[in-house]
Amino acid sequence: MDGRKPAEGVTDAALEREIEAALAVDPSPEFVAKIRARVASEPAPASWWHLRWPVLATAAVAAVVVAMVALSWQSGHPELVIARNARDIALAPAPQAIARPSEVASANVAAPTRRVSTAGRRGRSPSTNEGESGASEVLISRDEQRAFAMLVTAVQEGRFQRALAPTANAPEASAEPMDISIPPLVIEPLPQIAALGGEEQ
Amino acid sequence: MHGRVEPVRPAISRWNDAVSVDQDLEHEFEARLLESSTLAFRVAFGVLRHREDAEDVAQEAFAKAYRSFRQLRDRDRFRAWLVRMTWRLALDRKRSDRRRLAREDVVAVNPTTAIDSTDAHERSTLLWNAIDALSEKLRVVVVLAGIEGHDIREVAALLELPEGTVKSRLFLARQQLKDALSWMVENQRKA
Repeated sequence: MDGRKPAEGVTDAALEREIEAALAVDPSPEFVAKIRARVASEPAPASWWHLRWPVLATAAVAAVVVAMVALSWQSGHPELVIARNARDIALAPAPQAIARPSEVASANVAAPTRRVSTAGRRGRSPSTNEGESGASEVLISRDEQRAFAMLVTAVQEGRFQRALAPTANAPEASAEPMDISIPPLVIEPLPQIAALGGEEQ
Repeated sequence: MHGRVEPVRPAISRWNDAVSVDQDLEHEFEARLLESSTLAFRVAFGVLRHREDAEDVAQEAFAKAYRSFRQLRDRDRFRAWLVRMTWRLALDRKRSDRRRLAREDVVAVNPTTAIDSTDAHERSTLLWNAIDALSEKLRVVVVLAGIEGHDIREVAALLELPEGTVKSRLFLARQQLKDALSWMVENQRKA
């Protein structure tokens, strides 16, 4: 509109009339019938339940899947369960320590305990810890872990020999070779065969 | 509930209820169709200026409205939704159909045709050219205000905009239209 002269003789009322006249176009007489036919080919409007049941079903399935995954994940990683209990934390050795007892014997038992509790507190998955340590996880039941921790403690405190002594002596005593007396074999001819042989000769 | 357990209704009863609700919906939709079909057509015509195309677009808008009619049972909401949907569909149609040059009543840019035509046709051509030159926000206000004598309040309700916004847009649009029309008329006289 720059450089143009202002409107001459075009009033608001005249403009409105022009616009209304330009838009005063009626559709064809069959227009409503066409819409009815078009709408008739459409599926009926969905009801409340029809609109929402896919959403509800999807949400329910997702919730079940999440619950199952969470349960299976927890049961497959006992160290996370152990991490919830402070007393158990103190008893739980690291998976790597269980996998390599020779390394554990020289290591501090408290260090792997801190590692397990950290994993539980952060809520990380075990795979994250695997990536950090570069070692594979070894899954051992809780009782075996406790027993192994007790064994390591006994070895470190020098109680191992005393603990094993009573059970180790018994087999030694019974393992001494006993004298076996085997009577010499005597081969005697059967009387009937000897008699038959004498007749034939 | 009134503190007592309601008896379980038989399935056939619930089915009858569903059928009844569907029939109510059909009746309501028919009422909306009768009162809003021309509005939808004119909105589409305001964009396309082609009768058959405008009818197609309006039909498509009604088909979409029918699919979502449970959420659009309120009359005002239905009309507002229908106007916006029709406007959008018409714009889509116009953009995707650039090749179509023939107009039913108006040739878009063809001064020779405008000069040769009658005065009414000429004025209409100039007016539509001026409306086309408006921005989309101003154009939709002008078109809706020119349909069925809608006032500012009704246009605001249809567009779900504040009345002040509609008023200022309408004022701006009319100013631009007057400028454009006077300029076009002058040019035509000179030619």
